[in-house]
Amino acid sequence: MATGTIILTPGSAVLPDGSASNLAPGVSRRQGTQTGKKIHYLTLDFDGAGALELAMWTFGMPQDYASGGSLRISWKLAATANAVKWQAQVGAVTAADADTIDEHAFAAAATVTTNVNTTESGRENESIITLTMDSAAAGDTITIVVFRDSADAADTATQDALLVWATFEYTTT
Amino acid sequence: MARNFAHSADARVACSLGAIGQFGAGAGGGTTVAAILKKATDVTSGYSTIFSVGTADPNNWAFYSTFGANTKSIGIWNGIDDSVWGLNTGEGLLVSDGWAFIAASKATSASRVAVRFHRYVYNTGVWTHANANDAQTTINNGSGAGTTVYLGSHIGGGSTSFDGDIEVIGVIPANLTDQQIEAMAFSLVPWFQYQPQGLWMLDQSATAQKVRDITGQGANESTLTATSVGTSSVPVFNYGHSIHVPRRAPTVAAGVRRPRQISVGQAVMRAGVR
Repeated sequence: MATGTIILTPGSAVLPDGSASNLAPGVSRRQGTQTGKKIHYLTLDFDGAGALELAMWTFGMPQDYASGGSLRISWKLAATANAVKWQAQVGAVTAADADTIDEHAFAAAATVTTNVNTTESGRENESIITLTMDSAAAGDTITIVVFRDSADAADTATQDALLVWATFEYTTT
Repeated sequence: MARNFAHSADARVACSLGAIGQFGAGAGGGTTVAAILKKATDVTSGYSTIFSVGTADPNNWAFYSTFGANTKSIGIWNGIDDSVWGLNTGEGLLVSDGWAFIAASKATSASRVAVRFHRYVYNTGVWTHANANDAQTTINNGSGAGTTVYLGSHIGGGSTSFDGDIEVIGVIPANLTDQQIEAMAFSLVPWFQYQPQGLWMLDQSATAQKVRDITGQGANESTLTATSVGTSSVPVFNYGHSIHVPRRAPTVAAGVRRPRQISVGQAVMRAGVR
């Protein structure tokens, strides 16, 4: 028994179509401030001005999946106060399920509210959401949707929250 | 986020020429120019230019969105003939369409051939492909490439720039089929199905970051005029990277003996060394 990890990057996210209730975060290419070689990386920029924006990843659940499921999010924000409420939902579809992948509704949203780093604007923050796993099993088609509803009362930051990477972590057989 | 261009300020990203050639004369049998963009206003006077290449006005060739009293929608100027326009009135690309993918493609030819226009509106999920349908429907290959590439504007200047957000622009030296073009709206990867002459992602988080020709062929930003980082997220389109699932050694099943591990000391003892 160990911890399995699936790495979910901004460049591998599937973005929704921008229609009502399906707004996408921005994808930005960022450049560091180092002298000489600078870091260049992508972020998913989740709105802080009242919109609900979402991104998702779909994959086959590895055969060594035994139980559990959490989402670890690395993010940053240009402020030193207030909090971001991250939310995530899981959809798990087993072969021959009555629900097709197109029909299947996500399980209930799981959330975590994390204060931004108060020392310096832009420092990395980490949030971990314990997911509601929708009876997921090895071999299922899994979709994880991550979203931020910046109109939520618990989400007090008004700046974009920049997702740098996320990992799905689970207990292996 | 994408890059915002203000028509009133004649916003533009000027780049070196790199490997950009004549429109229609690509080594793969033609040229396709494509962009993902979102209009802020329906420019109804002068040009609204997505891409141009040349040395001085007039351009050697250019890719337009709206021109005139919104009776022209998407067009190509090749530096020799009149412009050709397609997807015109009633089908045009408008502010109300929101984010859209548009392209123009043409086969290489020693004589005039049709230009084909392509549009995908993300809000509706509808593709439209049609040959030029204005007064002029065919053009020759372009007149040359000149010395400079302008992203979002016209070489001639004078309020000719696009008005709105542009996420990506690419020039591919092949007359791509409708099916090939349809793959390009959703991921960056299909933009390389035929090696582009130039490809520019405009998703920098600050305008101080230089816009690079990501084909590596050198059509990189040289000067910048009046652009800003957009505030409208681009739907659907992404980098097309894969999800990473680290490989792990298989666990040992119950009843299967693991190889015995022995210490160096045990090994020495077994070897009879005293």
